[in-house]
Amino acid sequence: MAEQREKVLVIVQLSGGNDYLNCVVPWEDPMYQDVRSGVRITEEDVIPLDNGLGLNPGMGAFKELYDQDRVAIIHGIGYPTPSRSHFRSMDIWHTATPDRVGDEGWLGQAVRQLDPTGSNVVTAVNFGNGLPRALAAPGVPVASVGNLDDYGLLTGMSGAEQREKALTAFSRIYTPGVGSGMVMDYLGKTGLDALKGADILKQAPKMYESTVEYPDNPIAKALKGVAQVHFADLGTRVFYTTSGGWDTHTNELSLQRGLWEEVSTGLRAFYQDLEEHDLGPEVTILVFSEFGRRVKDNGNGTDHGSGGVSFVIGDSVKGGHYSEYPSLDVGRLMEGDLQYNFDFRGLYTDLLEDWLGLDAQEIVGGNFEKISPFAVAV
Amino acid sequence: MATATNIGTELDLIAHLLRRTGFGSTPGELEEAGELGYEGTLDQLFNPGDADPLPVDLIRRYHADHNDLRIPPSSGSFWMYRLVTTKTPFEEKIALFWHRVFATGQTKVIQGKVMISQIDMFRKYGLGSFRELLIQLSKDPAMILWLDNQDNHKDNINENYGREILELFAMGVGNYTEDDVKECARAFTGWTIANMPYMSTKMRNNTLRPYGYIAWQFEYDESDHDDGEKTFLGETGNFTGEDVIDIICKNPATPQFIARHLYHHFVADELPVPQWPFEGPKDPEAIQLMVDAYFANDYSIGAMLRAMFESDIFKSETKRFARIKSPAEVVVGTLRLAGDFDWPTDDVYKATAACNYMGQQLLGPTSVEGWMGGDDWISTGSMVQRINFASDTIGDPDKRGVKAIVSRIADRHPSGNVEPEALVEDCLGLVGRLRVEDGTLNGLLAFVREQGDVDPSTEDGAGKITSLLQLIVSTREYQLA
Amino acid sequence: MTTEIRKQRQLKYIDTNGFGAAQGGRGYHFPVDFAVRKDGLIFVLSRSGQGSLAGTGISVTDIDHNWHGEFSGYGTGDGEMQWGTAIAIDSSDRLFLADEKMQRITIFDSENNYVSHWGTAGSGPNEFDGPSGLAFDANGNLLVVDHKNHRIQRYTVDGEYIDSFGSEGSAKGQFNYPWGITTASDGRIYVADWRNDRIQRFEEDGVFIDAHGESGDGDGQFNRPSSVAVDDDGFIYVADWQNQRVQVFDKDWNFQTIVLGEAGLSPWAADYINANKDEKIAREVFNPYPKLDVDEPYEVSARTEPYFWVPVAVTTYGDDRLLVLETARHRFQIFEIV
Repeated sequence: MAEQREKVLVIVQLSGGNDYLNCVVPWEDPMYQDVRSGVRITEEDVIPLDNGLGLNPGMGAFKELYDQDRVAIIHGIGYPTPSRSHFRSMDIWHTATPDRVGDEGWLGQAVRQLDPTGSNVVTAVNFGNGLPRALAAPGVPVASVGNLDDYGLLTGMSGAEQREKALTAFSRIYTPGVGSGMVMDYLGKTGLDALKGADILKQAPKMYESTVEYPDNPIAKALKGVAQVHFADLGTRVFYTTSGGWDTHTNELSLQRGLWEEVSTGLRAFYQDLEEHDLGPEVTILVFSEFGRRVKDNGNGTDHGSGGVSFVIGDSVKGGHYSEYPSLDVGRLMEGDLQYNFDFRGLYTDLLEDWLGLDAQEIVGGNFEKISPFAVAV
Repeated sequence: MATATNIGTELDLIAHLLRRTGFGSTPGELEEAGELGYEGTLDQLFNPGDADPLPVDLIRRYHADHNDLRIPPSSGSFWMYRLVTTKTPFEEKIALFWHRVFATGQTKVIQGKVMISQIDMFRKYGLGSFRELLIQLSKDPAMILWLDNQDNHKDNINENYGREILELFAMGVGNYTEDDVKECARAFTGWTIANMPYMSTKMRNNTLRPYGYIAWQFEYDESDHDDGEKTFLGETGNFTGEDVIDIICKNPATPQFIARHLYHHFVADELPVPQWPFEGPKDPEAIQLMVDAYFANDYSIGAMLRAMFESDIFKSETKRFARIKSPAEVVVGTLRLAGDFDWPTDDVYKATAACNYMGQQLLGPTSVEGWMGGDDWISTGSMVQRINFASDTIGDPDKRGVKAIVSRIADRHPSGNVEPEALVEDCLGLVGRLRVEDGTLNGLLAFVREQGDVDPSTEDGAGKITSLLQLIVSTREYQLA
Repeated sequence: MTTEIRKQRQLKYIDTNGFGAAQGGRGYHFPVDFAVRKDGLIFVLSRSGQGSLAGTGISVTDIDHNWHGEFSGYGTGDGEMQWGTAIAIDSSDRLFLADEKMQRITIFDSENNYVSHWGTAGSGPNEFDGPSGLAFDANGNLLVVDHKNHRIQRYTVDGEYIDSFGSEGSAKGQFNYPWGITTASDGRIYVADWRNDRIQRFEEDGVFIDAHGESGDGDGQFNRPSSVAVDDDGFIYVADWQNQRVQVFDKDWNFQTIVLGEAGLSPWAADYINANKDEKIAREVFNPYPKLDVDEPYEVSARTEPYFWVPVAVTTYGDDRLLVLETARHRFQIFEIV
């Protein structure tokens, strides 16, 4: 048996706006059939679920996780005065501040609470390039890993031996000298922290052993990286992964199905891997997208809307439906969009307080109704 | 020896100037500037020739997406080409300066075309009269929608632009009242864009459909302009937007504020802007110098900067390497040094993305406050990006700029092998006269010694020099300008 | 001669086909070339861009706005493309695609299945550097604009090298980054000599006939012409790329007319507008021709939705239609030749 680890949170961001109506599909609802005359998941294709709902045909593997009682479906999630801009809406999700431009990411603040002195430079690991705003907070170290197998400094150095020599020289020239001044000291410390993070993370793939085969797609690769780092027990508490391409204005039926196949099979492999290593109970996953899409299709796709769906996945999760599916009734739409009925900051509060054991109020900027997706007090 | 030292001193000073007015210097650029001398170089900077960047027709032919400049990778890369290939980098430095102060973001305005037009405007007016610049800014379509001035109506004002022109663009907190904000907003009612309802809806919906974005066009809607009497900063009249700008420009707080920004960008890292109302400038004498130049030269930004660059303050040792490079300076400076982008290439997207990953998305500041700069640029994540981008970019001995460095070293050492001390000194000099601490110098020397003999005329030698350059652009000192 | 040349040709706008489809699907994304098959199907090559590689591919439509799907896509595999530049269809309905980054010509059969590809990068005979325009000569051989080598190469449809003509320069028969190419019904070859701002005309065998045009924005002047089409009566249509217009000439280069475009909503665009009520309402008060304070054609087109914005390719359709493809507006406009 593996020892009890600290709880970790894995984020799966679906960038571009996952179409809620064609993801968790109200396929029996005549209003759905009516508004989605051109871009509809038909009875033949839908994966029936319950409550008159079904899943996108690309979500077969996801359905398995649902059947294992691991998936909480959070219906109608959103925030007041929705933005239909990718950038702005994503920024709102990242900073949990819909009313103004937020300064700090919600997870960056969480990491600061988890490790106030920044003693572990890999408390948060992002799989992808650059830093998602969700993880950005001054003084909070975050490792952003494009590819775990070759992550590190001076990666453009030709030849392994040459690179080793250069790295040795690097750690020497970054060691602050006497009287260098504050700026040079700060650069030195940060550079050495970066080197340290890379040194720590590069151990993970070396230690990793598994019989699980991940599918060959970017999100599955990132999830494999999450497993590798998690198994290596490096003290990472927050993982961030991103799947792109969800902006399905055209070609939606084919695109969304393909993307869900990638995400679903990636998640299934990830869970197989967790089970094989008996390290599942410590993991909770949040799957979210910046907005849902317009109720009415445009003939070949759907345009930016509001009100969406999130998923919380994990062994500690009590599976099922949370909140309510918003009405498709024209009279209850908001500018042609679904009316959101659950504020995402409530879900963040669940995750921060009940999963990571943190003080959520300051991070999400107030008290928000929680949804309690966890099976027991965790 | 004495002569050599003197030349070195002036060259060091010129290199300092070129780091601030440009993106550092290639060996060729520094040689040319060295021949002109410091004053001559300054003359040329303020009377530049043709920018002669990579031609736009070539860019648009090869990058179909540079035709509409819609999304950030396209618009950012389009600017990146110019940053890297221009012969007049000072113009770009000025554009970057105003982009930071008048921070407008594609994140909200969505279409990059209007952002590129705003940058063109900064290039054209950025060194001229601040009054003219503010008028252009107030008419700039991207700025209008960025700060909601299309919603600023005669009978229902929206204060956003009226506030920010005072707080963030011209004067700073503490130099005006809330009433001034409202009166200022009233003066700018009716400053909008053509087809405002459709354009703002498309922006709000973040949609290129059906046929791509339509670039915005400034429109003055006289019927929506409040031409009633206003009292602004102590003066009363039926002020227009232009009148308000006149009043702003003659207020002594304005050049103080702009001078501090100029200092932050061109002289030495200042405190983050939000602290300015509470902490005075680091160097009040430098600020005063620029304020005097502003009033003596019809509010000329160029005159402020020229006075600064001619002063002993700017030239002093304490101002050398006194700024942390912005990501754009790291990326552009290294690409220029390597001699990249002579021809359209997909690598331009990598460069733009790298800048973004380091924390500066060109045309996409996260908020109207722009980028703070200084040590705000530095985090573990951004350091990995800075070091890897620079060392990767300079790591190809076949690149034009790398070849130029190697061949200069070969010319200086016709007999073959170069001693480690000489090699390190040459390389530091050739990347724009980088000055390093002893600890860094010793680390570089140790690295070179481990490589064994270096003969720059051979392929092996070129490879070793390239490795050394990779390490040099990875140093802490290289992060400084 | 002072007799006024009678203007024998005009273009009358009739329709628009297109929609911005950054992720593929019904519409185009930064289209750069198109070709009409003899059954009337229209194939549109979307080059797309770095931020939206899913928009890369070849779409199939027809004159009545039916959507017949898409094929190929971004990648380096068989049948994929990176920087697609041109397509042409041979007499047996096989489609040829030029890719200037991978330096190859890819062939698809009439069912859009990948058949093969060929091409060698270089500057020697039987090599090319940046294949751009494609056309078939009167004998059914493939003409490839080898633009960075400033010449036209001729191959059999199986990729066997035959001959080439042209070299770098601005003299007669020389080229400066040529782009589009077409063969007229009389067998003559027309090349858009892009950076020389002129159209050159050659006999079937590559012998220079004449060149027309000079730099500028007046009648008969060009700013980077990218494509040329010739109708059965010998009238010549030029995509005057950087002047954002199409010019028409008779066979003796007498200037006929200029069109700037006047696109309306295609049915696909109308579907979109109808699905987004807020945009529909806002569009009702939309003036497509606002008063502008710019005069550079690129900037004017950027601000005027009906105008051509980056008209990259022209082709005839039947004997009385001209289609004009616009890279930056993801559509083609259909004109009646009158």
